[in-house]
Parts: sequence; structure tokens; C-alpha cells
Amino acid sequence: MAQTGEVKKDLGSVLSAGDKGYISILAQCHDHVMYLAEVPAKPFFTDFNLNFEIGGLVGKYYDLDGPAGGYDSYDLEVEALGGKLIYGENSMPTIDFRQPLIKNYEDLEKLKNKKIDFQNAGRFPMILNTKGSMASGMCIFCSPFSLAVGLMGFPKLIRAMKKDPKLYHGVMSFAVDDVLAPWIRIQNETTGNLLGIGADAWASVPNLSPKEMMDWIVPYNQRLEKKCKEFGLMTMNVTGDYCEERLEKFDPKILHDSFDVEIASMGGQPALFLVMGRWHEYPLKAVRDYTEKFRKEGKNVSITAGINARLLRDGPIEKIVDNIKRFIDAFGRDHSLSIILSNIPADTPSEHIHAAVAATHTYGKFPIADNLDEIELKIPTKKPFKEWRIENESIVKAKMKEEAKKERCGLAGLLWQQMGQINQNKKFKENYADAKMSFLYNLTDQRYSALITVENGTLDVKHIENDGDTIKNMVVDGSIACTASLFFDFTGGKISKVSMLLKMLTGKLKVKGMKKMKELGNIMSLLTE
Amino acid sequence: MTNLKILEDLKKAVLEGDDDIAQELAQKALEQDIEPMIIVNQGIIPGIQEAGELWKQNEYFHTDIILCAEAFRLAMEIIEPKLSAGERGSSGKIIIGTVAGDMHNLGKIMVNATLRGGGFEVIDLGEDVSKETFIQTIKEEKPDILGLGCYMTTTMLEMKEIVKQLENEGLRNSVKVLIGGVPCTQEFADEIKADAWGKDAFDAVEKAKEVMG
Repeated sequence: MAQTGEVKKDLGSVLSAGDKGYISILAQCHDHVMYLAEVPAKPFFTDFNLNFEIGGLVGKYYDLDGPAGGYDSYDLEVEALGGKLIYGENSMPTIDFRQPLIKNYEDLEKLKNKKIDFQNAGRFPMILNTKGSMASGMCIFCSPFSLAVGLMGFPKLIRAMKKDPKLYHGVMSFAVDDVLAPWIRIQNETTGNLLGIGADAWASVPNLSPKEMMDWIVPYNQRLEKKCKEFGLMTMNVTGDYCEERLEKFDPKILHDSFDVEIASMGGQPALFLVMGRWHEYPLKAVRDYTEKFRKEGKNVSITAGINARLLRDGPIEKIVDNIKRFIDAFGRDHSLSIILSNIPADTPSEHIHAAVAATHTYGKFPIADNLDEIELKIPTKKPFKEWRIENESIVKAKMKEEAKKERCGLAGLLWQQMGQINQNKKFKENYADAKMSFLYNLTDQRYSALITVENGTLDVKHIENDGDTIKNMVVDGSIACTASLFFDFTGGKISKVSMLLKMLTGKLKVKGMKKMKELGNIMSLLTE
Repeated sequence: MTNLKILEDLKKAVLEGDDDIAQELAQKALEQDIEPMIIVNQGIIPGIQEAGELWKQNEYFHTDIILCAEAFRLAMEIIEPKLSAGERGSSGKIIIGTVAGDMHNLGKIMVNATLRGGGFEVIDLGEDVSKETFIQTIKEEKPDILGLGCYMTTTMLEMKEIVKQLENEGLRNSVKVLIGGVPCTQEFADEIKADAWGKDAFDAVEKAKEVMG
């Protein structure tokens, strides 16, 4: 059903910069935000409103394409299950691996019999009640393998994997069935977010070989994906990141095998993470060699490219800028590229981050120039955060409040990330200068539906609370009504015409104003011209 | 079973991470009156050394090394009490620990094994070790090297404080400082005036030997 324009549900779409017209740059920087804003660790990691507010402020200071901040995403589930965390004075909380929740079968049984209150356990309520959780568009969780590490400790889990597989499978099944699937479901119901992203740094090379990950971890990622699909949510696990420390050990074959693991953990979508390793030194040709088969098939490969945390801290600026330029030159033109500043070290100089952002926004301006060397890069000089904050806090906070009002929840957020850039398209502006159209994507099993409007050469997407009356009384030119799962299969062209007709006849799929819907498809196709 | 066969099997058990077998064979070797130092040098250490080679060749991953380290530890647990004082830690004495606020121990477990395999006497203070505990233990044990590990960029800064404290206490010249862990770099080691940075467990032994001269 490509006539309506394919609605992608992948990470690349969520991480894109919407209508800004350049490659997006985001940051994973809880440590740095805390350090920069001089907020003690305990309130920063236990008061998510504070975390989000400070993160938003730092995000604006650096001109990032999303809020900075974030939290210890590897700890929350373990803490909610009763695991002990160490809250440092100045450091992010960590699981106390000296006292693992599971040491043997008996412990596992005890945990399985424990009733988990997903609305109220540990810091779960903070995730559910924080505006920032919705703004991210994603349900964040700790992936099955990393959660199992949190429950047992890495050495004991590996020992179980190699010498007591029954225990290993018991722990992994518990992680997926009893903890993650219900926790992600609660997040989806509360926030309306449609993408689940699992953090899985423990499952990476050289912690494990790609074969070990494929055999022992991927089946559980896929099991989780299947379970979550039942309630309309797509989960993706960031499993298989290649982070070999010794450059002399770099091996394209192992890299490609680890990419296979990533894709198998990403619902089969070609989405690659080049995040934790020494990507400023690894040869990028090895990545292009891998993505060639997808490109030949006309598939868009999403790449999230990380700037090495240590490079970012130690500099120099020229090397950071060169690294970003190198990524954009290699992937900016024929991949869906996002830059991420990976886990920015606490005491990283701010000028390093300003340089990274300026380089991304300058070299990453669409369409990407043929020769990046011809582009002049101006790195802004900004006052230190403390001074900048005194002068700008009230203005920025007011701006953030305004932006929050325009927040697009659920499907609307996802659509905006993909469709927003059409507003930069000249042809669209000209051809649809006098047009007025509206479309409703009604996801019947989700908290929010999405309303797309085209008026005077501008496209907008808004979320609509899925209460019966609001939806029923809406007058639109075209609409689709079905469950989230069916919607993505339908818009992604994943169901046959016969099956589509059958679903329409049985009322599972309702489409109105087909002609106008095709017009929307025409609009979106302008993006690929 | 011949002595040679026992030592070969012991090496294989350490290499393959068969901890129960490694412990059993170490015991058997003692019962067959093989010199403890020979058991260590011809059975246990070659196992961990070969694991290091396989690591460098991308044949081994952390999953293999962690099991190998455990087999090494259990075999050494049998043999170590039988070694004379002079035979233990002939390469030097090293205190290791993960700094305050940091609970990660994967790297330290591996470093513990590789250092011992490299002939060092290792005193492992565990995880979340305070600055005061490091300083007090240095005063009591007088090690040649202090090995500091961290996993987070915030706890990494604690290393700086420990080195400063060593200076304040007048201990800096009596102990070499070796650092390791995901966020560390040679630049950071230079910045905090550490003597060396080990990029992984096997590199840590090489660096420890280097700083010992």
C-alpha cells in the first residue's frame, strides 16, 4: 500500500531531525549534563523532571537535535525487582554485582513468583510520569541479555550459558516474559510511544563472539519483538555493537557478522550502530562493503554513528570535526545517517561538543555537498554553561514550554520525523500552495491517533487522544483505522492485496477517501525525487 | 597418568575454562609430587598465556577469557599455599581494585588472572573501593604497583583524586600507578600522572612488567 506513503517504524526515522534540513546530532550524556550543571547524582537520577529539565537546557546550550540528559537505563528493571544499586555522590547509580538477585535456580524461582507492580516499582513511576519519556517517542528498556547480566553478573551468566544452559535459558525467559514484555506494554499504554529501544551494551564484540550472540541472545530479542508486536509496538535491541579496543584486531568478517546480529535484533531492518568502538579509526569502507547489498536492493540503511567518547573528551577539535566529516562523507548521501555523541565523559570540554554539533549541522546540510572540503565551518564561541545559563535560562525554559505544547505523541511523533522535511521541499511548496487536505491515521489499539494536515504549502502532524467521540466527530479527507500492528504492515506494503481486502471486508481495516490518500503518497514521494 | 600428561591436561583445562577439571588436575599433580612451581609454570600459566594469544588472534572473546580466568583461579587456589614465599609473586606485588562508586568487575577479574599468570602477587580489594582503603592498604602492604579500574566517566575522575592523595601522603614515588577500564586512555593516564594504561587484561600485564623495569 505504498500509495499512502510508506510509514517507517525504524530507529533512523525516530532519530532524524524532522524538518530541520540537516543530519541530526544527539547525545548520550547524563554524566556530562550532571557535571556541567553541577547537580548532585542522587536528585539527577531520581527526579526525572529535574533530569529532563536540565537535560533540555544543556541540549539547547549545545544546539543538539534532542534533549541531552538521560538516565541509567541498565539499572531500572533490576532495581524494580529488588536489586541493590549503589548511588554514588557524583556518579551514575550502578548495580551492586556483589549481591546479584539470581545466583541459582532457587533465586530464579523466587523472582518468578514475585508479583511485580510495573506502575509503582522502583523508579518505574518516574519513567511513566515524566513528560520527557513521551518526547523521546521511544519506550526505553534494558535488553534481555543485559538485564540477565544485571540479574546475575556477567561471569555467572556466562558460566550458566556454557555449563548450565537450563539456568541461562530460565533467566533469559524470565527477563523476556515476566519482566520486559509487561514493562514495555505499560510504557506503551501510558506514553503512547510506538517504538521500544533496548540498551544492550553487554552484548557486544569482544564481550561475546557474533556466533554466541546469534545463538544465545538473538532468539530472545526476537521473542520479545514478537510479544510486543501483539500490542502494536515494535521493539529493537541494540545488540551486537562492535567495540574492539585493539585496532590491530579489527576484522571486517567479525564486523559483518556483528552487523548480522544487529539487524536480526532490529526486527530485520537494516539499521546499524557504529557507536561504542573506535570508529574514528576503523575503516568505514568495511561498513559500505556490508551495506552494498541493501543499497543495490534499493533499501535505505539507517546508520547511527557514534563519536568516540574518549576522542570527544581528549580532542583535539580538528580530529573530532574530521571524524564527523568522515562519517558524513561516507554515509550522508546514500544512507539515513544520524550522529550520536556516545556517552560523553563528565569533564569533556564544552568547546569539543560545540565543534561536533557545528560540524554535523554544517557538513550535514541536505543535500550533502559533493566536496565537503569546500564548505567553510564556523564553530560558535559560547560562554561557559554556567554564565550562559544565568543569561538564558528563563528564555530557553519558556521556549521549551512552547515546544512542549507542540509535542507530538505516539504515531504523530513518528510521522513528523519522517514527513516534516517535506516543508523544506520547493516542489511541494509550489504544487500545494493552495491545497487543503486532512488525513486521520486512527490506531484503534493505541492511546493516540495522528492527524495530518496540508494547508497553504505546509504539512503538519498532530496527535489526537484516542477517545471515541473526538475521533468519531472528525471530518477528514481520508482515513485509515486499524490496529497499530496492521497499520505498519499495511503502510509498509507487507500485506497482500487479497489479505488487505479480506481485512477490509471483516472490518479489521477501514480505509476512507482512498483517492485523497493517494495524494498524500504523491506528496511523500517528492522526498525521494 | 604421567606427569607430562597431567600438566598438558591442566593447561588444556585452564585454556578451555574447565574449572572443575583444572582444580582436580592441580590436586592430582600435587599428589604425584610434581613441584608446585612446575605445576604453575608448565601447567597453569601456559593455559592462560595461550588464551592471551587466542585473544589477540580474535579466536577468544571475553566469554572464553572469563571462564579461563576462573579455571586459573581455582587451580591456583590449590597450588598457591604450597609455594614458598620467594616463589609467590616473583614479578612484583600489585594491589588492584575498582574505584569508589563503581561496581563493575568484569575487567578486574580478567586482569587479576593475567597478572597472576604474569608472576605478580595480586591483592584484590574488590569493587567500590574508597580512596582511604587504597591508601591504607598501600601503607600496610607496600606494593610495587597500584592498579585502578573504572567503568564510568564519572568514577574515572576518582582515579585523579587517588593519585593526588598518593602525592599528598608522600607515597607517589614508592608505587607505580597502572590504570584501566573502558573510559580510560593513554591521554587520561598522562593527565592524571599515572605510570601506564592497560587497554585490556593482557596489555595490563605487559604494562605492569614495563613499569617494573
